[in-house]
Amino acid sequence: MKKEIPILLGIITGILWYGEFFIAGMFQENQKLFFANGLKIAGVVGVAVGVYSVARQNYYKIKYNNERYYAILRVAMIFLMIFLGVISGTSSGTPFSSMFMNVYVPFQATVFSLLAFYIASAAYRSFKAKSVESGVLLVASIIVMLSKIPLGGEIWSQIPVIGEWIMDSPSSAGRRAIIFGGYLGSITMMIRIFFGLERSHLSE
Amino acid sequence: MKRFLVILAILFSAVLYAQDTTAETTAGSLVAAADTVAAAHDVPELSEEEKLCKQAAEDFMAIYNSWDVTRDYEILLPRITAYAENYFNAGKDPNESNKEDLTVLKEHYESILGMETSETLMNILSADLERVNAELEGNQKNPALIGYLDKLDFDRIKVLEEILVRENNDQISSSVSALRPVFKNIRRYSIAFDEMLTSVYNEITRVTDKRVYFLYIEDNVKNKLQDISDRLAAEVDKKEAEFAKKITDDIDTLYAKKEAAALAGDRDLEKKLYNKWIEARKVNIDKLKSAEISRLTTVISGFMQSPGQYDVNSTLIHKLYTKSSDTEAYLKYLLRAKFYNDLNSKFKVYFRFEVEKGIRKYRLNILIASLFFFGLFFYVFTTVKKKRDSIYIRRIPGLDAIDDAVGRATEMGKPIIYDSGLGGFSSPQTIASMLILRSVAKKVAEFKAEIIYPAYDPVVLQIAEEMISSGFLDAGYPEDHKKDNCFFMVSDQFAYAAGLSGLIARKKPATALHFGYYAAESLLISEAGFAAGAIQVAGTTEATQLPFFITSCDYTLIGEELYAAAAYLSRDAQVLSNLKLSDYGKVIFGALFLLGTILLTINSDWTVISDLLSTY
Repeated sequence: MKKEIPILLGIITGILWYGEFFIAGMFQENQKLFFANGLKIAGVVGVAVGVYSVARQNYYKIKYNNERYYAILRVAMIFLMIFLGVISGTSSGTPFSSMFMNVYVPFQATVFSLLAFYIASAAYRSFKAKSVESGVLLVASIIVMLSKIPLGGEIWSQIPVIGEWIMDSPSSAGRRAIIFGGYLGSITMMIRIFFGLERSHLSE
Repeated sequence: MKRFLVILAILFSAVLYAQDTTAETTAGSLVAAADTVAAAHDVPELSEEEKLCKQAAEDFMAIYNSWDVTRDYEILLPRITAYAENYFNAGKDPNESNKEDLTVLKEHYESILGMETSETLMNILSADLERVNAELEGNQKNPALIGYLDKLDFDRIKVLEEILVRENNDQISSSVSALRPVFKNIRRYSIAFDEMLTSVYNEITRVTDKRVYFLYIEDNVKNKLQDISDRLAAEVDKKEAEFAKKITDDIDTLYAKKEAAALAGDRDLEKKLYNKWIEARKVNIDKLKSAEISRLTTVISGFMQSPGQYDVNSTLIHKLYTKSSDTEAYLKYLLRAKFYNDLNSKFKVYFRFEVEKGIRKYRLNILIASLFFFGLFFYVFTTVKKKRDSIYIRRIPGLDAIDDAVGRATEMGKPIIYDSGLGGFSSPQTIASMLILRSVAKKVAEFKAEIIYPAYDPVVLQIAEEMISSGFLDAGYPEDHKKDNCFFMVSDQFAYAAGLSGLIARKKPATALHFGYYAAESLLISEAGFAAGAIQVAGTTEATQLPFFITSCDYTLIGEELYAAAAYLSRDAQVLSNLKLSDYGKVIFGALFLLGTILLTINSDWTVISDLLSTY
């Protein structure tokens, strides 16, 4: 019954929500709220599981001197933020908020800004005319990059027009084809979960 | 004698004139009064709809007025008074403290303004000095707390403090050391005031929500609201035929205008009207009903007597703290306003629910298509089960490379890092990734290599652990599975990217596999793998991230190849049927797209296929 009950619940819920798409008023607002709150509760329990996993992993690292100091720092930061949040709240002006705005946000921005350098190095590696296809890629990418800056228009007035056409027509067509294929694949996977044939989400 | 008669004549004329004026005024008043009476009798009759709305408003107000606020007032008054008293009586009085601090601020500001400083500092100081002076003169922003800082003031003081600290001036330094504790003090009291106000708001909301909830579940109130909604819904439903006619009339009118523009040769106008015609075809009866609900709700609101706006603010706190004589009246007014708002919201939800319930006929095309796909799915499933071994799947180089990659890891004695991106457990990409993980784990077990799985989502972590242990079990080496190699990393995009990049840099894996949903961090992760010298295979359906993976990884699974991967690796009947069904879907939809495009190209009015494939 351990696997059958979740599958049955999944099928019943799937049918109800499938019906809701076609029949207005299948669920009242408070019933929809029930599902929404249920997902939130599952998310909160997930966070608790995650914190336990981190604490356990770092405990062994500290115990067996495997990246010990990094592990101590990691655990200390987690518990410090929990402590600050509980003691002084999370509103603006509190130590929690200061840590978030002055430590976490700059870190996030730093990691994000690394992308600029990685894009440059990836472009340097990939834009090479080794074959016809890569040559076409090279030319198209140069035109598109030039079309995005004023220099492109200065070189030739048609560069921005061609660049826009490349983005609007062949590039969009290819992107839509990929997206379409991806959506069809996910629909078929959802059909399998709907009918209880897909059990990987039940760890089976 | 003559002179006397003239004076008498003038006086008599004056008297007559005065009488005439009075008479005119009286007559005018009489006329006006008569007009008013006539007007009262001429009050335009309310239409049937307005009578219905008025009746609905009266019934609603009867429900609202039946609630006695006294009980909730008696519950709430001591509680919220306690919050206010705890704030004001915890140590020094905040008003006194802030007043002293404001005086200190004023002195120092005026002193700094007299020195040679930067223009920025002067401007900010002047602005804050203006605020300080206003507070000290009695023009408080917050009646309950002198010197209260709102968000703008908070930001200004923060900037001011930073600038003061940066000023390299001995004279200012002494002021700075005096000002910093003052800023800290004032900020502390303002933050505490906000928290106290939030507590008061939450307490009032909690009690009134409970009251509304209990009143609502009492059959009487629920049935009364239901009754009002049913009557109004019946009124809206009467107009269904009218709405249907309006939709067809609008479409026909716009089509006729478009044709006229085409005949006249006005291409621009024709294009505009064509777009309007397409938009008009997207209007369905539900949209018109929704607009009608909004309109009727507005009419009903016109007949209702709203008690006012519900706003728990510093005025309430001020009255509580000063024990003002009108505290009771003010609190009761707030409670009535809150109850009115809640009841009104419930009523609107009911009204909308009663009108909108029923089958959404404009989605029948989706229903038929989905039922067709369900049937096709079962047909394919049964066919695939019989012919599993003869089903052809084209070669996917990335998946063929996984065997070599795992072998490479074994030879080099380095681990394999597998990650499934940012998706949660409900994302189809993550589910596909888990299926691949099981097959990869089986290979890893067979090759006696090591697999590390850092998770983004704790729930996905549990599934991944089970997948890996199942894979090891399938290979016959369950004891080789190391649980500590599956761990939760962090549930933040860039922190995950940084953590994973660091893990790859330290562990220097032989193979890195990235399958799932990725956003901007895809390049960070794949470049880290490239720098570490790992063979990388990636797969995602995110079209925006594929170029980054293609650039940095050795093999990339594009779009539905990610979903095909599980079938490719396992040859499982269910997963193979997945693949065949999506192939059939692509063929069917591809044919429909082609046919629709051809039809629209021949004649832009032939929208039958695009209508078939659309939903609203």
